[in-house]
Amino acid sequence: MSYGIKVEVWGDYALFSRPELKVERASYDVITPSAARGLVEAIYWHPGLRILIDRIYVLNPICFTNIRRNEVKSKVQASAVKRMMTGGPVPMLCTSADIQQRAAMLLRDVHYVIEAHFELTDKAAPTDNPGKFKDIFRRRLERGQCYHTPYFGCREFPAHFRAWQGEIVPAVPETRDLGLMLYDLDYSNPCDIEPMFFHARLQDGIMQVAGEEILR
Amino acid sequence: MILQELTAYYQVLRAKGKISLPGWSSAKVPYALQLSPQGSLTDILTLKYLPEGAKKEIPQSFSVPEQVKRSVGIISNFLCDSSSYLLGIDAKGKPERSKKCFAAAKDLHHAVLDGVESPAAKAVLAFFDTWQPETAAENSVLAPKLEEILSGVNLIFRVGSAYAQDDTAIAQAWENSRKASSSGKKTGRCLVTGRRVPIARLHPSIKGVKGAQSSGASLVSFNADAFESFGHERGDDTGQGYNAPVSEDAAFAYTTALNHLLADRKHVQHIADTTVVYWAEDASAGSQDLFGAAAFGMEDKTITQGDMKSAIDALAQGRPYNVNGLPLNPENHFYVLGLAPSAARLSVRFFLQDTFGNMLKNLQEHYNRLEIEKPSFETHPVLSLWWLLNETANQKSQDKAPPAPMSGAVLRAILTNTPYPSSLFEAVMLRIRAEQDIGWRKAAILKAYFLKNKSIYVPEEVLKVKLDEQSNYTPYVLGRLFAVLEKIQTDATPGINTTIRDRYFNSACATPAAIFPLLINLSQHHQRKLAEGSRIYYDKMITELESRIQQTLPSRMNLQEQGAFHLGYYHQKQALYTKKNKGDSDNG
Repeated sequence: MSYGIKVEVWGDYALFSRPELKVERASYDVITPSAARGLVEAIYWHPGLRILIDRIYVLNPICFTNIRRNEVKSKVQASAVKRMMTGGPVPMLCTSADIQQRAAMLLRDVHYVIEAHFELTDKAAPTDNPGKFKDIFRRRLERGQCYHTPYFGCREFPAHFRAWQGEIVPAVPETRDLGLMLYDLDYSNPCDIEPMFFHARLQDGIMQVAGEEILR
Repeated sequence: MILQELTAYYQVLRAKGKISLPGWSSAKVPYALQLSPQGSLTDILTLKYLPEGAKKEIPQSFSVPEQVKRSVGIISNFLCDSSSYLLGIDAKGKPERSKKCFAAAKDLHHAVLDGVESPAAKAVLAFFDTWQPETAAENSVLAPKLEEILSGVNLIFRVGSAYAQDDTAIAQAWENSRKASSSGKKTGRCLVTGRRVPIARLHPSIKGVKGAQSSGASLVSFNADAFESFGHERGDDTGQGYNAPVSEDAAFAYTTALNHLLADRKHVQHIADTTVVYWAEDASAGSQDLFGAAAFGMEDKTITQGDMKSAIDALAQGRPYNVNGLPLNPENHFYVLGLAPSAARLSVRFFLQDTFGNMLKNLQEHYNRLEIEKPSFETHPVLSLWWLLNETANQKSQDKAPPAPMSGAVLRAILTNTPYPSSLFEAVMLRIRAEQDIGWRKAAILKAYFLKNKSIYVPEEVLKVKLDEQSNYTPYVLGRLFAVLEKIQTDATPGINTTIRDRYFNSACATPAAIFPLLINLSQHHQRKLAEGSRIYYDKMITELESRIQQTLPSRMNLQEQGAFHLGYYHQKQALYTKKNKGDSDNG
C-alpha cells in the first residue's frame, strides 16, 4: 500500500533563491525539493510524519521576469532583544536609514504537480498510522485547509493548491540539466546548519528527486 | 547555472591557454620599479601604450599574483601593489598608515621569498630591507613621476631585464605559499563542483560592469546582516562565504572567466543600465562575432552582410557554417548574461542559454516579424536592437537611455522567442503620441508586437509588410484615410507650417467620431485648391475608403486599435509616396 500524495500547485510568481545569488536574488529554474516540502507542510504537518519529495512535474514553460524593490539591510539581533529583556535599550530598525534596493530574477506563471510520500517518525503516537495520516491529507486538500498559506519560495508569492485529479500529468516537453540544486538543509547540528545538494535534471518536464544521490 | 557555466568556460579557456592560472590575475600597471641586484631603485619604467585610434595612453595588462580584496584593513599584495605598500608613501596624508602598509608588504615578501635561491628574489628582499620610506619623497629617481606614482596606481618590480613575477623561482614560491594558506581551512560542499573542499570566504571582484564601482563589484557577497542566514555571520570564523558554499577554486574560476569576458571590449554590449556578455561553450570567437553582429548590429569588418545572412540561414537550420575558415557549430551551447549594478553588488538581469542555432533562429524570426516597407532613403537593412530600443526613449531629452527593465525583457523575448513585453508597446505608443508621427522603426515594432503577442486581437491583414487595400478593419482604414487627408492638404497648400497631423493626429486616433467629420469638412476646402485631375483622383480615393467603414465611427479607440490606426497611416503614407513616383514616370 502506498502513501503517496500528489498535490497540484500554481501561482503567478515564484522565487526559489539560489544560495549564491540570494542577495541579488535569482531563482532556480524549478521548485526545489525543500520549497516543495515546505509547501506540503503548510497544508498538513505532524511531529509523527516526515514528508519526502519523490518527483516534481513542471506543467508550465519556465519563464523569468525581473523586479526591484526596497528592503532593509539590517536585522534585529537576538542578542539585542535579550539585552532589552534584562533592562537594556529597546532595539530598533530605522528603515529609512537602512534601505537597500535589491533586484530579483523570479519565475512567472508556475504550475507544478508535487509527488511526495511520508514516513512515520519515532514521535508518532501509538494510535497514529499511515492510513489515518493519508485520510487527513485527503480531507484537508478537499477542503482547502492549511496551517498557513502555502507559498512559492517567498511569502510574497502565494500558491494555489488542490489534490491532483487526473491520471497522467501533462508535463512540458523540456529536457535540460539543471546543475546542482539545493536539496534541503541539515539541521542536525544547530550550531552548524549545512546545506545539502543534488544534481537536478529535467527529463520531459519531470524532475526526479527520490533515489538521486544527495551530497551532504 | 551561471557559476557552473562560467566555471566550465574557464576550464575551456584554460585548456586553450587563454586565461590566467589559479593564484594569478591580470592587472593594469603603468609603472615598474627597476631594481639593481643589490636592491636599490635605479629607474622608473613607463609601461603605457597608445591603443589604435585612442587619444590617451593606457597602462599595460600584466599577469600578476592574485590580488586580495581590501576595504579598510591593511593587507599587502604580492609583487604588485600601490605606492603605499611598495614604497611606504602616498598622497593620502597619513604617513603613519603608509609606514604600516610598507611594513605589511615587507613581512609578506619575506614570508614568501625567504630562502628562495634566485637573484630576482634576493633583489626584491634587499629592496624591502634597505628602502627608507621617510626619505622616499626626495628620491631623485622617483621625483619626475612622483605625483602619478603616489595616486594609487599599481607598481611592479623589474630586476635586470625581467619582471619579478615572471621569475620561475618566485612563481613557485608564490604557488607554495598559496597552497599552505588554503590548507587547514574549514571545508564544505561546494555548490558549483559538488566536491568537499575549502570554502572561499570572499569572492574576487568583478570589474568592468557599467555603472558599478570602478574597483569592482561582487556577484556573490553577503555585505549586510539581513543577507546572512543560519548563523553564518560576518564575525563568525566560518566567514560570510559559508552563506553560499563555493570552493576557492570555483570562486577563482568563475570570477576570472567573467572578468575575461568583461575585459574583451569587442564583445561587451550595454543595453540601458545592463552590461551584456555572451560566450559559446567551446569559446569560439567566431560565434561571438556573428552573434554580436546579428543581435546588436555591431559593425564587424570581418563579416560581410552577405556572409552574415547565409551564416545565420545555415546555422538557424542546424547546419554548420564556416566563417573566415573557422567552423561554427549550431549545436554548440551559447550563453547570454546581463548584469546590472546595485549598490556595491551586481545583480543578474537575465541569463539565457540555448544552442547557438536556436538562438540565431529566434533572432531570425524576430527580424522577419519586423519586416516592413521602408522609405527609399533608408539604408539600414535590419532594425538592430540598439535602434529598436532607442525608439522607446525621447532622443531629444538629456537622458536618452531606454527604460532599463524593459530593455532586458525585450532581449529576453527576442532570444527565447516569447511574447514581447507590453511595456515595449506602451513605450512606443507613448513616443508616437508625443511626436505625433510614426517612422518606419516604430511601425515595424508595432507590427512585430502584434504578430507575436497573439493574445491581442488585431486582424491579420493589418500586419503585412505593405499596404493592404482590401482590409475593412475600421481603425486601419481610418489611419489610411488620415494619411490621404494629410496628403491632400500638403498638396493644396505646399510649404504649410502646421498640418492637420500636428493638430489632430492624436485626437483622430483616440476619438475618431469627434474628429473625422471635422477633418472631412476641412478637406473639402483643401480640395478646392487642387487641380481638376488630382481633385478627382483624391475624391475617388476618399470615397473608396469611406465605403470600407461599415459602422458608425467609434467614439473611442483602445490602445490596440490605435496601434492598427498607426500602421494604416504608415502603410498608406508609404504607398502614397511610392505611387506618386510611378505616376510621374507614366506621365513622362
